[in-house]
Amino acid sequence: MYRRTFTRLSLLSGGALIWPACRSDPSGAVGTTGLMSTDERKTVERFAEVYLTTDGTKLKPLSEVSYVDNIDRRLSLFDAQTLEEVRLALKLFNYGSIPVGLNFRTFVHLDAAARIDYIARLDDGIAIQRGLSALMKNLVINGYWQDIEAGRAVGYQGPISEEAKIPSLGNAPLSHAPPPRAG
Amino acid sequence: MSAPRTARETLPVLEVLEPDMMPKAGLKLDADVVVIGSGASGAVMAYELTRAGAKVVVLEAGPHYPSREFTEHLTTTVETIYADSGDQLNKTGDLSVLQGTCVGGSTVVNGAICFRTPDKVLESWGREHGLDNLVPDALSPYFDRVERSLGVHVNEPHEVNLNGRLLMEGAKELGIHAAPVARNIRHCALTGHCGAGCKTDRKQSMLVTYLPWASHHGARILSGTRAETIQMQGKRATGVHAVATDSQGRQRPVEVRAGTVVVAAGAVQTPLLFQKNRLANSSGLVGHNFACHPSVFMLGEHEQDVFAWVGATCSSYAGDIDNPLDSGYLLEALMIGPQTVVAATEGGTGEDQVRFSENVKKYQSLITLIHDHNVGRVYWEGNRKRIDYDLDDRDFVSMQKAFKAASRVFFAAGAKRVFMPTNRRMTIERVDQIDSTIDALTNESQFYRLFSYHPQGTMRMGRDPGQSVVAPNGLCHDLDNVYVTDASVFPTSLLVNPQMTVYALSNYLADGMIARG
Repeated sequence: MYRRTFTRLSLLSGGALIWPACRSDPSGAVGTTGLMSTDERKTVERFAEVYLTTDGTKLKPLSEVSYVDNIDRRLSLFDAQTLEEVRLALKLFNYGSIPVGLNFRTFVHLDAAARIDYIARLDDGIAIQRGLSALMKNLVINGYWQDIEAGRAVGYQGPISEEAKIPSLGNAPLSHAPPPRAG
Repeated sequence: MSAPRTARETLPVLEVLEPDMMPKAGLKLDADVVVIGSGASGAVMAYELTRAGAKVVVLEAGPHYPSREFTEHLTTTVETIYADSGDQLNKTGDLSVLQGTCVGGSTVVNGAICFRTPDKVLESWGREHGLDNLVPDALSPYFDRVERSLGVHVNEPHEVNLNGRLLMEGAKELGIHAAPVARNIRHCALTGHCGAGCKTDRKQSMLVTYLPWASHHGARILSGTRAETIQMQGKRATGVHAVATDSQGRQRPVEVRAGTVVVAAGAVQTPLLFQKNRLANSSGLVGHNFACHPSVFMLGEHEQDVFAWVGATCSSYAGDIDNPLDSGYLLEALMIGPQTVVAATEGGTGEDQVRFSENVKKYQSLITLIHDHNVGRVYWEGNRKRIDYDLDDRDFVSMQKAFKAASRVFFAAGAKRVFMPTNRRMTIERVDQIDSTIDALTNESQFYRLFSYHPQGTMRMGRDPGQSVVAPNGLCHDLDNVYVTDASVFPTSLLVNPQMTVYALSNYLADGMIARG
């Protein structure tokens, strides 16, 4: 069961492409805010600190992007079962560092070098471990790049049609295709 | 004499009945045909049947978003109009199956890429599945019709961006066929936001074509209304029970009595509806034979700026589409935006990730498609839908071929490095590393960043009722008046983007229904 759960989680938060929100029924979950616990936020922040080291680079500083709030907001759209699975995964990721590499510390208490080493070990691990690592990466990547200004910092124009006053062409004129034929 | 009407005034209007507008007690409607789904198939069916005089009701589970409400922000779009808000995954969790869930379906969020069904695929359907009615000559007039209707044209030179030119140059150097793609678009504004819906109505999705045309002819289109039950009397359907959910989450019953039911909810939802209703499954094949053209993004890093997201979302392709059974792969020059690139490719941790992200404008970007086998299954597990699909070893060979071809194209086009679509950072730095690197890869779960926009095959069409669910005329073998017309009927995957096949096939099946009265 755990294998299924954690491997499935790795693509949450946008799959290979995009930002998540796991609602099995579109009429279902209604978002709230402030879902993540202090420990969960800390786990994400400590991961991002070593994964996306933006200080002194062209990228928009991590500290200026509300990526954790973005993650929190998105988690609020998950159905209860998926949310529970994600929370379990965050916990497992954090506590999983205790036996790995003989750190005897949770992930949030590791120094930067040990955190990087832990991530690398997961990347080279079995499917469950790769899934945990991929989940954390996707959460942070999507939480960060959700900010349109993060894209603009690397030359992406973002939404453009309104600014450029590109007119709508409206619905297409009725088709002049020949009428249906028998047969 | 009245004043002359402007061109604008003569354009058809799409009228959609949204749940908030419905009476609290619900709705009871009568129709000749009820169509479930408003995407590529449902919209064409609705228009063709309506203009032939039928009274048609269309039930769409997703919301109605007029294009003026599109944000050109992929993230918010995915939250609102993609299936499961973009998180429709296979059971293993390493394949994201992307579908539009809104009025217009996936046609609203696709890349507008148009290919006719390869002749050899149609011929194999005739040979192996008894579909000798779908020979290329029979479908050709239907392709002509829908292409005219949707403004399909091969990209003009100004619509081919640098990303597309690099693909064609690299492929030409290697002797691989490459050309600009055809797209269903008029006067493209080249914003690159196809994946978030075309805000200015240039992409000829169903939202601005067949649905308003159907509406003009009298079709009633209901959004936010999910079909739950196909009501039966013996082998005949008498209508559909659906549930409309308003913006406050309140549900209203919708009953449609109809003489004919057309199910066009897509290759994931269509079999789930049949399974829920325990219908049409004497073959035991409902939900089986899922295929999806599993895809990855591959990146080639150049010294120069490429700005692959500028211009047409997809501008060119490379591959032998005339021989899909032999070649097995297709490359398309496509990018949606930096957030897509950094999510779809692992740049590394720390400085590697930052450098990778800073250089995003220097990446030539391709997606790979493969002609995969129908090894998957869609089904219910309790009240959760499941998609069992793991890349078959035979298809992994095709994927390796695609990886190699893409890598060679990148280097031939001048790239200095290739990023592989793996969950940990993997790059190829020189041409002579391509074979050894890719040959060493194995078909493991959770190792590649796979996605699909092309679910197909879960309600197989064929002549033999023991080997298929749907007959060559679109009718379910087991039922008298229930049709299936979407991509779920494809007996095999296509290799190429499926929207044109769905349009043409639906038009063909609609004509048959009309002829039979």
